[in-house]
Amino acid sequence: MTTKLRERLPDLVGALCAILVGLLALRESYTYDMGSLTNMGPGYFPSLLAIGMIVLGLLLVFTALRMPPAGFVRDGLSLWPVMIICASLIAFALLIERFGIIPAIFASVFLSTFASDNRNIPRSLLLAAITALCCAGLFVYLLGLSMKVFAI
Amino acid sequence: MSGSILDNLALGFAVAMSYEGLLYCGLGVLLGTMVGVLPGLGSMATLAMLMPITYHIDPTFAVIMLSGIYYGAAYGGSTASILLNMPGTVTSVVTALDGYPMAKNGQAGLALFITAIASFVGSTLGALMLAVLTVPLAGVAMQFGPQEYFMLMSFALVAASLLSTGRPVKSLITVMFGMLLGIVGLDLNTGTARFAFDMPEFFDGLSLVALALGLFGLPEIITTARGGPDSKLGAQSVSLRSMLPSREEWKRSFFPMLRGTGIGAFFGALPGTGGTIATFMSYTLETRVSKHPERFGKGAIEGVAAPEAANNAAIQTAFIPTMSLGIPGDAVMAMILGVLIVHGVIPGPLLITERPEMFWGLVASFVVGNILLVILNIPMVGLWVRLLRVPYHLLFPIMIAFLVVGIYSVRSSVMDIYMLVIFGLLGIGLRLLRFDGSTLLLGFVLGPMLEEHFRRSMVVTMGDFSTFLERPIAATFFGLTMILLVFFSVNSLRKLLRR
Repeated sequence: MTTKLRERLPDLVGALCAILVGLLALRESYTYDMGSLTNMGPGYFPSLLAIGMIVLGLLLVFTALRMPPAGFVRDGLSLWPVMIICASLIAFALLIERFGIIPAIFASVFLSTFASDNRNIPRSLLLAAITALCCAGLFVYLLGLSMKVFAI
Repeated sequence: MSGSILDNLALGFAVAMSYEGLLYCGLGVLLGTMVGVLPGLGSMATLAMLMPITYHIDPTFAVIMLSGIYYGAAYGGSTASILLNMPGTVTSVVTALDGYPMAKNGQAGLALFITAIASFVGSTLGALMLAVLTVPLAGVAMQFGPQEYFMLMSFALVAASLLSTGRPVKSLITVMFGMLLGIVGLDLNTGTARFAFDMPEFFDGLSLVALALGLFGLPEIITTARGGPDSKLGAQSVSLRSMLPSREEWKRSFFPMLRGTGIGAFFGALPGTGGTIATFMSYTLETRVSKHPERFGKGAIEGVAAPEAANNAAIQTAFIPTMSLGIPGDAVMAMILGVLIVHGVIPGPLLITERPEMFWGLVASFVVGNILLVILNIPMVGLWVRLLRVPYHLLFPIMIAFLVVGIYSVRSSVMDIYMLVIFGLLGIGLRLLRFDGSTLLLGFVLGPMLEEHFRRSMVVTMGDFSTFLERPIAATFFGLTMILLVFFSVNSLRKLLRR
């Protein structure tokens, strides 16, 4: 029974999320004016969608228990690269406004190289430097975007 | 509509053959072929990655480039599926069924050649239909009221979710969720901020670029980061002489190409359906009409020619509803439409009369782009085979940089980067739980339009639902939607009861 349940977990978790999102959206759309069918307020359509999500979520619970199990899709998705890539994006967000595009890209590319199994620090540094220069050239000089290039 | 179709095409070629037109068209098909060849990176991810750049160029060239990526990836996708049995795109899955056996029989060159020719035939005929049908259809659409739009959009959403690869209920959930995300922002009629949680950043709505990149770009980059799919498989080298088909092989692939084009053109033009279904349908049809059905799966040339023609015809005709009605039939069209809207171009029946250079330039660029693709894919196929050996661990950090600068460049907003992280996590979650991201994106773009037309039809008719049945076009699409829903419910009910 437990293995059976575990194989169906993706569908059940998905259904639960759908119901949860539906309930939250329903609560939120009730705070807006509903209006009537002939003159719908801003809350009318979203609450229909929210109810739809709840109903479909319940339907998914039902079918998930009956249908052949699906299992999670793992193909190459693991926690480490996800965390590293998110960190590299956040690094860019933190650096871009104060230090400019070159340091921001340098940091984010350097960080992101750690998402793969390949750990060659000098090569990562080189790749980060080249990418930063090329991106700055492409976006600031070719496309003419106004961005801070390099400032400390 | 002024001028004959020839005048219009002349205008189009003037745009497509201009220096910028050739540059962006060439760039699009080149990048498209590249990502098509690389397994693991789809055309959606690439389109999303290049979307920010299109904010800084003329919308006509933006659309030309994005479309080039889309059909370029279809050409490239078949290369990987024939040589490595690793389809680069969903639509080239069927091509691998007979293309890979052909390659194993030593006919890789022939398979690649027929693929390119079938793609070219499908594309060109599809583009011709686009040129001929869009203007009259836009004329019909001038008389459309909100009821017709509402029903057409509902049909597109229902068809796209029921016919997608996943479980239908789950795709319907993602469509609804996408529509809810699309609603975030100020309500056009009353000015109420909805689902904005008092954050002014959300008043303009969520960023389409951030959503598309989060759903498709980030998850695909992250999965390729760990070495990506095994690319050590030795792809055989292909000489030009081995490519040329014999007279017999020409004859065997001629009608499959035409039948494939027909099926592809039909499903491409119908909103909500598209290339994936068309390839499967045309493959099935070929196995049915063939006198030697036992050859299929073992390297039948018809099994490569028909689906390739179908897929490419579908890509071209998908532009018919997008350009004439302003209704995107799939997620890629939704992205292209989103780019137009950002540039202040309002999609709909007036688009062709107001911006003839855009529509006809696009049509002409399809012809130019497909000729470029035949050149890229027949004499230069060796180059792409070598591309399969590029180390992924050098490629993905560059893509990260490109993506993050791109999204920041759109409106210099750090908030957009944080949204990208959130949507990226959402995209990964959806993938883990086997939900379909492309129906979410379609819902995101269509949701606000659907609401607007629903509201308007209810105002016009004083809340009378029978209006949807009294108007013939609306009623037809209502009927089609119902047939699909009933068919799928009965089908899954039967499956449930049998267990």
